Amino acid sequence: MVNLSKISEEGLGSQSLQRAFDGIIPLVAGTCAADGTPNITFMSQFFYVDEQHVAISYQFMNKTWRNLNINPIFTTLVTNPDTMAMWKLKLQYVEEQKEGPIFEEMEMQLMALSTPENINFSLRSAVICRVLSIENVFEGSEMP
Amino acid sequence: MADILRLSGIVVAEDRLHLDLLVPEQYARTFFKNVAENRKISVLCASVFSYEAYQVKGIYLGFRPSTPEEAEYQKNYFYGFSRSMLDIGVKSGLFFADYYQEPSLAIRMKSEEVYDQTPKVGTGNKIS
Repeated sequence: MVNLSKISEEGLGSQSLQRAFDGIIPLVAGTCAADGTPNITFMSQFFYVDEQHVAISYQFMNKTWRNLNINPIFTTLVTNPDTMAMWKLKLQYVEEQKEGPIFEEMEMQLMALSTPENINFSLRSAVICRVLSIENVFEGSEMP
Repeated sequence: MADILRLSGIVVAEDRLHLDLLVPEQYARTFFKNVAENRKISVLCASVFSYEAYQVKGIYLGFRPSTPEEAEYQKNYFYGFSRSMLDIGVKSGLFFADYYQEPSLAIRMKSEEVYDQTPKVGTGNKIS
């Protein structure tokens, strides 16, 4: 199991990963149906919960939600908006939270992203996931 | 478990049924391990301006090295994507061009279903 606090001790890499959680570039999530058909979708938000858990926003993910309840282990691709560095995170769905501090914080962040002419960012629930592994796909670059 | 591969271009065949998914070879190793066990694949594409997005589900058929024309196509894609990112205020979009590495591959896929994936209430409807 990956310890996110240990990653944060590695310096730039961890700060860079945390920045990828800010929702500026939507994350991509890939899940799998019972017959092996993959489903891939965008998600607005990735939220740091603790050293071993993150939360993703449940807004429009009908098929993704059905898949998670059949195959709880899935993959996400996150991108740092400052460097374009990308990581693949293997996650395991743990539980859904429709209230509480994590839900409220995520809802507040989503409201900040929303504009009248923008898409509806209302949050149905916070999907709590255990982080199983983190893989750096692309290192990106730093602004001079 | 589903895996994710960031593409560097998509070419739709004249029959509108087959697609060539372009990707640098170095990112595709896990993909080939996976399709050896399960040939079902899905592709998600979106506009960074409008959020309009579509998902194509289908079957992996095979792969070949990219042609010089396809290599150029991928470089142009990254140039265009970087410009689009700049237009929406993401200056670092220019760094994305470094994602492209040679050699690259063309992964052939047969499309079976297309879904609306634009983020909105009720999204996910099958289009064809």
